[in-house]
Amino acid sequence: MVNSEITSKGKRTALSLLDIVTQQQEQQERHKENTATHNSTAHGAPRFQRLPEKLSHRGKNETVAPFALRYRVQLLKIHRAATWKTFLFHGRLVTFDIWRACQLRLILLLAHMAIQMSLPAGAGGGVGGGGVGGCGSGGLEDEAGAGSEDRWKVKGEVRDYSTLQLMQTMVRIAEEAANTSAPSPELWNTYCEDNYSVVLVRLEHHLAAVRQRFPWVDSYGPLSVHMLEYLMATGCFDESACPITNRDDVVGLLRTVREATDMSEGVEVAALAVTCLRMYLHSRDLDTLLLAQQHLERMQTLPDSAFNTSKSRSGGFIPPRREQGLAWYKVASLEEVLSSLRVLLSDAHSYFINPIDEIPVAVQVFVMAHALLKSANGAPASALSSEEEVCTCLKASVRARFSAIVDAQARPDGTVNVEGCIDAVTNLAEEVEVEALHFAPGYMSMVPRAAGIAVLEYIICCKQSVEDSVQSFRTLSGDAVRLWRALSALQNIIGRLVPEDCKEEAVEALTTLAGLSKLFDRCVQSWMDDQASRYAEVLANCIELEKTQKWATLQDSGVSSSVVDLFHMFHETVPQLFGLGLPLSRDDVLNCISQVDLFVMKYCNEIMTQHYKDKPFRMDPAGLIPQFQLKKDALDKMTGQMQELFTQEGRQAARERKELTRAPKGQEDSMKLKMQRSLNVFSASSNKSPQAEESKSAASPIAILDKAGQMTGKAVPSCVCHDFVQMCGMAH
Amino acid sequence: MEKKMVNFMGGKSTPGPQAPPADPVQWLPAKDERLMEHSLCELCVRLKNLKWGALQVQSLEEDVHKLWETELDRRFGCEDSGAAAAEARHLEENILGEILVTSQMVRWFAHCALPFILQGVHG
Repeated sequence: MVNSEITSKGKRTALSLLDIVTQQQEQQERHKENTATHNSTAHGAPRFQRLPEKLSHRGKNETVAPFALRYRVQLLKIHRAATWKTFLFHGRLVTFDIWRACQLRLILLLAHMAIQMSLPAGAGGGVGGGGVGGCGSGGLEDEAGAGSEDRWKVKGEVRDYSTLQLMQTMVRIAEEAANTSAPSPELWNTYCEDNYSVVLVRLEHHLAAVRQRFPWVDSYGPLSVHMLEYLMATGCFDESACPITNRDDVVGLLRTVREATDMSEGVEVAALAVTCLRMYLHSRDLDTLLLAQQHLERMQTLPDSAFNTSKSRSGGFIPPRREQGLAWYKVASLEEVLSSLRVLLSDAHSYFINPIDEIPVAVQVFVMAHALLKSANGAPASALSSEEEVCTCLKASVRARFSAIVDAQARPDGTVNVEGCIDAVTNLAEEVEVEALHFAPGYMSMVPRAAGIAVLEYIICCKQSVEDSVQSFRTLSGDAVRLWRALSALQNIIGRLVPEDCKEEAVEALTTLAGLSKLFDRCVQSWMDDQASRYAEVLANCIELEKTQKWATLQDSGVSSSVVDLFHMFHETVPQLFGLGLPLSRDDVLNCISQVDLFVMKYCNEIMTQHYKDKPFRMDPAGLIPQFQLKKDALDKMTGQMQELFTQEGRQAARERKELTRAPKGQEDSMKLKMQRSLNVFSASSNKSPQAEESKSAASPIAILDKAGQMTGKAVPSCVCHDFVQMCGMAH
Repeated sequence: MEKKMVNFMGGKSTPGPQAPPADPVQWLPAKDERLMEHSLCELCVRLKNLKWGALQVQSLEEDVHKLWETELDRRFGCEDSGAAAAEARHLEENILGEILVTSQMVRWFAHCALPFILQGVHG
């Protein structure tokens, strides 16, 4: 009968009917207490469960937990159909048979759960997986043939049972009890009562075997709480499976269960919070997370005593950390909330679908749980504050995302080559932008400079990854330029995205990125070496060409090709240097310019140097200056004279000038006088004394020439005299 | 004409074979003899190259400074546009200073001496 009745819906309905008889019996009294002392209890649900006087553990030496096996067996022993008062529960008529079936089902479920929980992980099925009637199948079959420890000694039975046999026997006994009925109380007393009592005693003995091995099944240990969580998960969130669609009814039902298990309000709130979080992890519905936040807020208002139900202590086995009632559950639930949210917040890119909305709520829930956990008794001491915890999560999230980006570029052997590294850095620019705009702001409620911290963490990871992938570039290559361009784009994004209040992190990030420039040092140096070689080659070719072409000038210019070629090359070099796409330091620029400087000077040396008989001689412009100064006037005169003498135009001009300066008729000077005048002019230009001029005034032209010839070797500078004599000679 | 230029360049007659050189400088070939190897045109071209090179050196120096300033603007512009950036930008380590120092000699010759020489040569 039990097996046939068990369906998922029926089982949940049956569980909700637990203790309904007792609730009804105490309803009036409970209502008075509720209105008087607990206004916060809504929906008219009972605040706590009062046991029948016979079963009440208060004042007795031995404590019987309301949700325990013995409690349920005692209920069965007390109630009979003749005294049963039928009642309605959510529109369903609950008769004695239904109530008894529910009690039996729960007894089998508790026994099954106790055995399942004691099994090693993976040895058995879930608690709710098979239903009460099917509890003997599944995992229990696997251990049926186990060693001697799995044999069960049952009082009043001759043989030992295996686990499977024990459960099957209990199911048969429960079926026998459930099937025991009579048309009237008289017939029941006559034919059924004795047998029914024997069946219940026999069931009690079998359960005693279970209790002997698992004493905690009678305690308020994890069994009750897990049951509550299970009911919450099913009743609140699995609407398809829950017969109650009204949320208020569900909450009322849960309170009923909580009070039936004599758990405090704090435990219920904690269970609701952790259940909501579990549901959020499954559904990613933001409303569910907000619900968890509300339950945590309620937890904050409850004192620690709300979690301590010392009255629930039993004489059985209780784990040491659970000695303080259910306070351990507060810690456990908060730890679960914290660990779950830590996982989410530590990899936000993977877990959050709508990060802008979800992350702030998750951070709030995380911080609340962290604060509650720190204040809870028996909680492990946390060295980090809430801010530090959230900051740690943020950094972990960034590292996780960066690892995903890099892993996407990894080769089959797990390493990342330069190409992959460049692609990763290129993609990182976009990721940094997404992080700064959509993910990091979610952490800002606890970490005001979250954007800066996230960006800095990205850059630290990027630096490490680049250094691992690229030891250094030896020569200028496309990879080097691409990588630095990607890093430069990253720099620009950092400068653009990081908020004003995160300047410290931005500067540190940029400094970290700038530290990567050392990878390109040899690259720039290699390029400069190449340029120096090219300079030397071009300079040598230019000089050779100039020698060949006798320093021929270019058309419409006064210069030769060498200077144009060289400086064209130098002018090209400078923009190339700045346009390399590599990090440049001041020293790099100075080194490059010093190379140019050196080759300019080499070229100038070539200009200033002449070769004669395979020996170089340097022209000294400074030494030439005085010579030009002295000879300039004479050179001018010589040039003018030569023009007059050797060109037709010059001669014509001279004749015209002569006509203009000719004296009037009758006043012509003699030829002698003309020569004398010429000599005077020459004497004045050669700084001769007046006495010498006077002595030579009467000299004939031949004498003048002779005199000039004498002066050539004496006071007059030889070149001037030589020129003058030559000019005169040429005139003749 | 070239012979005249030899004289104007300070050339002296080659010491005679009988006269033993008293000064080591006299072991060098006579300047006029050396200058005979060069035409006036070639000399002028060399000097013009020098002058033109001096102008190019100056232009090159200006280019480098301008590009470096642009690089600094880009570098510090992306980090910060505030006073701190301006201060960091003008740190001593970011100032390029005087460059093409060796080529200053060329400029000196070109700016001071060579124009005068060229003026003298060309009248």
